[in-house]
Amino acid sequence: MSNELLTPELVGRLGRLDLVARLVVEGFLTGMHKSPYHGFSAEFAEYRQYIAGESVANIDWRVYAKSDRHYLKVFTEETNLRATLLMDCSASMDYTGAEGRPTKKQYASYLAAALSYLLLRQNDAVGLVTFDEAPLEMVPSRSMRRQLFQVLKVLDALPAGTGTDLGEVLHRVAERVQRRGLVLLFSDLMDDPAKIIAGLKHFRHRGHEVVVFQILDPREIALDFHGEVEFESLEQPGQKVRLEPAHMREGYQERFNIWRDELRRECRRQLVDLVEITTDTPFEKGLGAYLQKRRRMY
Amino acid sequence: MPISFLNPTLLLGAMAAALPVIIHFLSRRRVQHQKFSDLRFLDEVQSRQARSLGLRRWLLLLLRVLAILCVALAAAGPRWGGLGDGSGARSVLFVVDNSASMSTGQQEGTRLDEAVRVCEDMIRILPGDTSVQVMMAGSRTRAVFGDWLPAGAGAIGGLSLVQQTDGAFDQARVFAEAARLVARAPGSPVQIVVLSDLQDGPVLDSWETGARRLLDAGETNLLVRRIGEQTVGGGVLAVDLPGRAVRPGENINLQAQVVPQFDEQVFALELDGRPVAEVVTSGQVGQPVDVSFALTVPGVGRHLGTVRKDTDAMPADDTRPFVLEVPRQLDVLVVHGQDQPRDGVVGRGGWRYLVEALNPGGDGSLFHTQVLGSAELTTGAITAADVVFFVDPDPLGRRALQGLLEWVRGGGQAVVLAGDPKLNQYLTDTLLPAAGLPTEVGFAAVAAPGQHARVVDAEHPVFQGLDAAAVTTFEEVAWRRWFRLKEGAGKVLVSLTGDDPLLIEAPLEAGRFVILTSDLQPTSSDLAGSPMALPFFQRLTAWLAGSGGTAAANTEVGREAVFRPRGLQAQAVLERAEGLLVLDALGNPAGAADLVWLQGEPRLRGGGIDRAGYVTFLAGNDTLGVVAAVLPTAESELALRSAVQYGELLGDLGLDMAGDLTGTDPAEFMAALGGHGLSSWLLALALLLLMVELGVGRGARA
Repeated sequence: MSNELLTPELVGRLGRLDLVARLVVEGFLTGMHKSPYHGFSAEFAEYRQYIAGESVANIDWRVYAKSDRHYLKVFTEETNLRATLLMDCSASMDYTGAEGRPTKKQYASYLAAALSYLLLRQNDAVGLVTFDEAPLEMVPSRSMRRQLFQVLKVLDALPAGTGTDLGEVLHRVAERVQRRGLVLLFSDLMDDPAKIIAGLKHFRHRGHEVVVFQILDPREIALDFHGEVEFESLEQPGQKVRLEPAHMREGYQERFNIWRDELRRECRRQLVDLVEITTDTPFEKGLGAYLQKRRRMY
Repeated sequence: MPISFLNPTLLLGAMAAALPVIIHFLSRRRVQHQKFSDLRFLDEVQSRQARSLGLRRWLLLLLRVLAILCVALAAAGPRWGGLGDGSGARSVLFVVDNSASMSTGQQEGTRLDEAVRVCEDMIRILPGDTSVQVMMAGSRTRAVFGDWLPAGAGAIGGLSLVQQTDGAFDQARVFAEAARLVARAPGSPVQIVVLSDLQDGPVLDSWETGARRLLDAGETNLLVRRIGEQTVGGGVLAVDLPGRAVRPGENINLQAQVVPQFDEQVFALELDGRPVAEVVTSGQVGQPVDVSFALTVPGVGRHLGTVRKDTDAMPADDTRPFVLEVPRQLDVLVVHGQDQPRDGVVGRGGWRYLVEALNPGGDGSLFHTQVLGSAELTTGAITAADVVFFVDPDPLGRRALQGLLEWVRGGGQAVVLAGDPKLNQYLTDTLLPAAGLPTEVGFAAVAAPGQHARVVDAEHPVFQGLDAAAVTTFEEVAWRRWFRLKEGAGKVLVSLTGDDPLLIEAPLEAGRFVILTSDLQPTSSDLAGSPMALPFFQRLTAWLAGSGGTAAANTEVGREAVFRPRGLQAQAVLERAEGLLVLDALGNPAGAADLVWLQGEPRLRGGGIDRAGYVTFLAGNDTLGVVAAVLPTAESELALRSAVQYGELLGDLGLDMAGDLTGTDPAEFMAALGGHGLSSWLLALALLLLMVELGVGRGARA
């Protein structure tokens, strides 16, 4: 299956998160010019058949001389990376702007599942923390193969959260994640930027590398509604605003961009990778961002 | 109420102003409900913009509603002022066309019935203090009421005086009479409401004069309502009588101009109630065509004739009456100069040839001649004659000349044979200028080799019907001496080889002079010896006598009927001058006949001819004479102008048509009276409102 076909809408219809993770990762990795496994010390594990497009650096030419077939030497990496996935389950993450498009939470879970699969395949340790106003569930980091099923099980049944207090949650989780590692935050960051940055600084202070996947729905950005609309807050049911978006779009986008610019600026200052993703974006962007970070780390 | 409307029903269009309101509230009801992730940015924006946006939305709604209201009001034709508020005109003049074309039948009655009905409805809705006048425009153009009346039952009752006539709608007279009435109107501006079928036809110069008088009379507003629709029909436009005296038993062709309504239509000629001839038209439906009825002239006396066709929607022109007089004798007076020895037995200018030509067999001829020398001429002798010949006359006495001229102006027919060069000075200085010929026209005796005549107008009654050989014989007559007249001296009937006029017809008001520029002396011409001398002079005399009214006495409806009693009739007039009466075409008394004396000759005049038919002059119980009153030709015009075309025509004359009431309900009439139109202002305001709306709307979206 070509990775081009793995749109968020299609992935959403697959249903099984393990399948989603595998398809996304395999499709993403297959055909890359440079293997993600390459570049750090590894122990030989097995041979596998060469696939057109892969680097020819690891082709075992002796096997080729004997069998007249191209085989790659596959190595098992030795790593001590511990990745912790922080999954925002607040009510705002349940938003989707179009029928058939995954909610932000669904999109985040697919992306998190794919990254978990990728990390565990590299023998990294993966852990998961879900939260809304407070931490909800925690899967400690492990690198065992069955750890994937633990993570996917939680991701598959994410609770319907309530409000957001991201700053406080980050502080609390930072206190509980002892060993240095990689922190992957999946959230729409719908909170006070100052608090969020303060929480992220806590992780940085403890020596963690942080990648923030800010997941937004395209409609949150464009506000492309027509006529008169009464908006009701997902996080605070009953709170409503009635207006004509056509008349207020520019003002809204102006405010929205100020908020995003602040997040970008502060993340850059704290050396936090901010990956802005919309729910209609192919997952490759998220995976690519992770791999770049991984490459910089080692 | 200061504001009135031309078309109040269109005010219903104002209901459209509810549309933006309805759309506004419907759109408010169609609010989408959306769950949204975070309202913080929306809250911020809304708190900043919501108030001004709400105001703008209400402002937009108000602007749209006002714009639609303005358009709807403009369509209804609002007017400020006028009769409604008492500040405008309080005088309304209704011009009701009661000409012949208004007798055209419609679904409900005639066009005139509708015009009167509309007028009545309009008067009924006028405020009681409005002054009303009604003017008829048919055979007579005059006010119906003696003075302006207050609107109400009296004025409505007075409309019964508006009766159908067979006269013509005379626009010039309408303007003139309207000007007179406007000048007397109690209020200004005067609303003039024209109720007419607006028949098409030529625009006459006299209209401009009338329009100017109306403009000068005072401030007016012209409103027009066209009555009736164009119809398809035919009729008899004219009957052309022979134009000369005819003799009993003579075969003549009587010409008529008719408009066939369909192919192979029968037009019949009746004389004294009996059909005597008929023609069947071929083609040219709807177009005037000339037809000819072959007729044997009946016995001496007065004969009432008609040319008729089957009746159509407009019956007035389906029958055209005429009166054919067949005289017993025509009185001819021959006046000559004093005979000189050199004149020989034929007398001065050969006058005896003339007498012989007119009365070759002695008594019993059609022509009864009387001969007088110039010195013996009296006014009474002139007026007693049908035709007077002057053959080389000596200078006439002052009274005789005066009497002659008055007689000619009144319809007399005189012939001058002037071949004697000695008379040059008298004719040039006195007689010709008196005859109305240009004074610069001069005589010159010419002694030239013999020349021959050429008949210029072979269709002239003098020559019409003559055999070609007879005309040739006439043209072969040699002419040796004649007077040379300059061009433009009159209508040339016969000219000489060198184009010098020989026989000239010079009308003078109702009568005419005919001048033969030679005489009958053998030294002047061979005419006296020609076989054509007798028929030429007899035909000339018969034509002149017939033109003078002996052959037919016809008049158009609306004009004065004039009868010229003769002989015994004149005697009866004198005996019963107190009992002279005119009966109209319907047999109703139309008033007393006016007796007028013209140079000792009685004339009877009878006005008030409203209908086509035979107008009878009575003296006691004796019928003195009958005159045929015929439909004015213009009234047979089928094409109608639209009110807009009529308005353009008025505009060309400097008059503005203030409103077209065609098709409007009479109840809407009030709105059209007086005041100032507001439609254009309202449309401009609507445009302005829409432009503001566009600006506000753009600002709101920004």
